Amino acid sequence: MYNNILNNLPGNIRNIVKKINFSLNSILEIRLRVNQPLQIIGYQNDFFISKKGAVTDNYNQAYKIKKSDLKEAMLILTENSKYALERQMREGFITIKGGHRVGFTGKIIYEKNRIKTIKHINSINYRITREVIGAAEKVIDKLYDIQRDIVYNTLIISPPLAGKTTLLRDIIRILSKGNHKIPGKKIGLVDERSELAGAYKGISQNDLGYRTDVLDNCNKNEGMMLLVRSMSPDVIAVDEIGKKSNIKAIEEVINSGVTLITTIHGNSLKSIKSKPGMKNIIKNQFFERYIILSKKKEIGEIKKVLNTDYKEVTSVGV
Amino acid sequence: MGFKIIGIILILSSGTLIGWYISLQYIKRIKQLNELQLAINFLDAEISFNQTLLKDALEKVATRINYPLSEIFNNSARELSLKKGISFNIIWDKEVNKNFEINSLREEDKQILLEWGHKLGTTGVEKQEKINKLISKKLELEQKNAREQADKRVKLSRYTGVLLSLLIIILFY
Repeated sequence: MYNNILNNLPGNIRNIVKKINFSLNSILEIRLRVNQPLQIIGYQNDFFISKKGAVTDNYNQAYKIKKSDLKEAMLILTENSKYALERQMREGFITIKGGHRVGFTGKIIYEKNRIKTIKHINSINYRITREVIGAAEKVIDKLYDIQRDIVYNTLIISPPLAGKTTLLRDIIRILSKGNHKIPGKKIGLVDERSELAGAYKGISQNDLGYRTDVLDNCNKNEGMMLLVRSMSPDVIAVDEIGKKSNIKAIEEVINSGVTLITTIHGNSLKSIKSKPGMKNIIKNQFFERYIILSKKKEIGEIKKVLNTDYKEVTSVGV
Repeated sequence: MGFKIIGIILILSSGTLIGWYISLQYIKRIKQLNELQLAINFLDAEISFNQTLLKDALEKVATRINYPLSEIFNNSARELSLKKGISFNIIWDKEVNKNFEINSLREEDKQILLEWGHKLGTTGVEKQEKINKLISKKLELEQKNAREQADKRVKLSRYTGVLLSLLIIILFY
């Protein structure tokens, strides 16, 4: 898995990261900022890395990122084919093999009041994606109505880096495979950022079960409607809703009788209600389950699962 | 006498062959320029319709054209897939120069190829299409030149080969 990250780092940094003498398992992000120290973000804290791959707090000892490192990184990331990644260049991230997301910032170029592309990249962030098989085992029973044999419309609410994508991916895997209680469901996945499936050239690299159809690199709103029309899914899964433009598509999916499982950035149900459009969705009880994540104790910690009355679901099948 | 006849035959045949060889280069250039035109069109389609990654697109192009021109595309694709973070134009320059001798292209054709390589993959789809169109136009002009030159010089070099060898024979014997 880490080879995918290593292969996409520029040569100098790749050699340094290879020398790091602790497990790559504890790394969340690798950050390259021009003229700044090479920085690694772990679960608990962050630190600088010296030229020899040693952990240091000292700015002077740390390896300073050069402009040429960033240039090389972008060449590797875009595989010398910018035309194939126009949308990603506009949105500020590229998903590499393995589903890892690499974000970047630089000088924004506008065209017709819209971001056209990002030039002169000054900062790159390699976010390491982990497939945590079993992350959803604890909640899966609470999302399923045994009597009616349906999966509840579910919204996962989570701050960034708290594991919502990982949780959603595992929910998809379990539902798609089925378990001793839940028969396997047909899942349609709209993977706008290629993060959930980690698809490379359209083929899913992550385990998404036996019954999952993936629309890779597809706009959420169009993708959801396409799946409803063409793939007769039991469940549609999408990551990171919350824009006003998503609301209509969400309503249409739920009204068409397909279950929707999705995620949104936020800390609590209250904070979500303040987003335009979401207030109505919540008031109209489109979602039947809310999973609230927190990263206070550890990443992926499930704070609580709420039902339509915002009461905590404790027993299964209620 | 026997020696003389063998000598005459040798001089005449080698002169003729040299003439044929030179004329063949003109014909080969036209053929290779045609192939390059085909390669550009094919790559353009891969870029604008399929947004295929450059390394895959080059590999596909290489299967459509003949050796030795295909070498440039094949080797560049291979180098790119090593993911060393080398800019494509550096790889392309190296491959075009390395394979220049085994191809029948001329310096002006090479310059067009190099210009193309410096712009491939560096912009969005729209600009790539424009670049491909421009390069295609330039190649078209060279094709026209090449055909005109071939019309004039193919026969000329063949006759010159024969006539020069005859001149040598007359002078020596």
